[in-house]
Amino acid sequence: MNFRTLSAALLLLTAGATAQAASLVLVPSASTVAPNGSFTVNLVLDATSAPGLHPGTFSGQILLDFNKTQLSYGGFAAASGVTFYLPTAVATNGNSQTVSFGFIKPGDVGTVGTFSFTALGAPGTLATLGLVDGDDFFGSSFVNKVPTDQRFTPVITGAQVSIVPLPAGIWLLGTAVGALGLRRRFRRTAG
Amino acid sequence: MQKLLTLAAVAWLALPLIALSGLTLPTRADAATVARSNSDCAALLERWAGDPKAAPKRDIAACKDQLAAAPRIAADPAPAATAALASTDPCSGPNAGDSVLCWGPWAALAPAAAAPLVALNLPESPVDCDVISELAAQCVPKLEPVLPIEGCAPGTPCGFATIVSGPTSTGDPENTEFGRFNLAPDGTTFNVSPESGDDINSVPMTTTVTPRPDGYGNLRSTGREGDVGSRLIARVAEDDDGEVLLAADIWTHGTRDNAQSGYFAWGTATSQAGLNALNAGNVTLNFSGPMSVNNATTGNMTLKFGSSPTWSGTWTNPAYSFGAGGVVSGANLISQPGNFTENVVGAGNFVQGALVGEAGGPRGITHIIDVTLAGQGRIKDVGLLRDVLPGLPVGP
Repeated sequence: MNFRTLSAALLLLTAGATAQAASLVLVPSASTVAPNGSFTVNLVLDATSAPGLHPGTFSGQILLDFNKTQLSYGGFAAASGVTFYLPTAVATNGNSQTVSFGFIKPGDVGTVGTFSFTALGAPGTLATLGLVDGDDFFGSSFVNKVPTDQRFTPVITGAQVSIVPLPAGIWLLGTAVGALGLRRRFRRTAG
Repeated sequence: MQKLLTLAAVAWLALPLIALSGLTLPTRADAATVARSNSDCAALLERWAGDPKAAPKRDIAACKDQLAAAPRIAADPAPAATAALASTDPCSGPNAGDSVLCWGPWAALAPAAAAPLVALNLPESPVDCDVISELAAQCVPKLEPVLPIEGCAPGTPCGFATIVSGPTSTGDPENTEFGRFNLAPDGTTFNVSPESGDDINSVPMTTTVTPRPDGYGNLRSTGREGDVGSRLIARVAEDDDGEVLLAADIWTHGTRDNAQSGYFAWGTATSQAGLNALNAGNVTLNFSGPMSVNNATTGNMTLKFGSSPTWSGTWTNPAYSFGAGGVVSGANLISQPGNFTENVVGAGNFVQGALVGEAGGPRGITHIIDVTLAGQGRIKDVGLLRDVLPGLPVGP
């Protein structure tokens, strides 16, 4: 009984600590995408629990990686107020492609910027977008710069997007629309 | 009957003692009333010289006095009796100091342990002998304060750092060390000299500086050589040529598994000409800014230049506040124990720093604090404070 209580308390503490930790997450515009379909992924920072003054100004380096046979990288658009201390760089190693940059973002919570992708993979492919600290040699590259530089380590989470065929209804709808269009054209021609 | 027997026994036992004393040693009344001749005294002293227990001290002293008071022969400073005394008194000869039977050869009583009888008449401020060479006779050598960490010479790079094991930059104050910090003006290398142990030298780094709204720039410097890496994340003030004039915050160096890190504050100590101008003008400068280890702490310092430059300061945190003060020596500042506020307890507390920068440019105080506060424990921090210009807001 005591062990259970202790375990529960530890779990609650862990959950609480996790909930309060700063985070950097990828948020896709959709969880599924059709082949050759375009989609976007937001990079969202929540640094309310980071040390220093708030609202702060946060800086860090990220590295995004994906399989270039599944996804085609279209670019990264920084959100308003976000600047770069390291410009965006794209590197390819075999089928793996990476996008990295160092950013400075004012404000505790919000979008750092938006990635654009096009799905290349065959239907049924689960495309993974990995996200890591871009300079983790010393553990974390993230700091709150207000009022002085203070390190913090956000919990970083990537994303997955499923590439799926268009649903049957879409095909039927398209066929019907096409048929109607052909019929109208045929009637005009006949008339 | 029984009482009578007891008294008789006591009297019988005491009889030999009474007889003995009567034969050999006069009583105090006897000594006072029975005078010895000078020859008897000389003989007694001679006997006493061979056997210090031959007579009581008071008899020996009386004989000494008697012989010493005997009429002297005018032409002879050593009459016979005195000569006899000198030859027989072991404490009168030239080797008296060696005798365990005599007092030592002190000329005067040593004073008991107590406060100095005469207060040290030191000048209120150190005097530079070179400056007043014409008054060399009155010149008092300049008293340099003792600095816990090596001080900064005017016009030379001057920084301080905290040092902890691991890459997190922060640690228990008891495990936090201080050291001198130096930075290349282009931000590509740094060096940390701990109080003990070998220097920490960064590998060459590449740097980027981006603007920030408070007038500082954001410096990121990163380098890697094999398994060893170095990194700076700092606020910097640069000149028009992009050279770093002031810098503060995070340094890290080492391997992934064995790194050291800490915070720092760096600048170039004010030149001697700059210090002379400040002293000549009796200038007062105010500085303010956040500390780096705990940036919830704001430091405020005032430097009063002149013939006796001094400083005072306060450090305020949501959880505590304390004050300190001390002297300015060259570009260096050091606290004096009596100038801490009462909540600074224990021994070994100090605030050390240096004035960096020149008039017309970014100027600051690089400093370290090591204090133990009542109810708070030990605090070690490093900070770069910026000069507060009248009418201008204070930037962090």
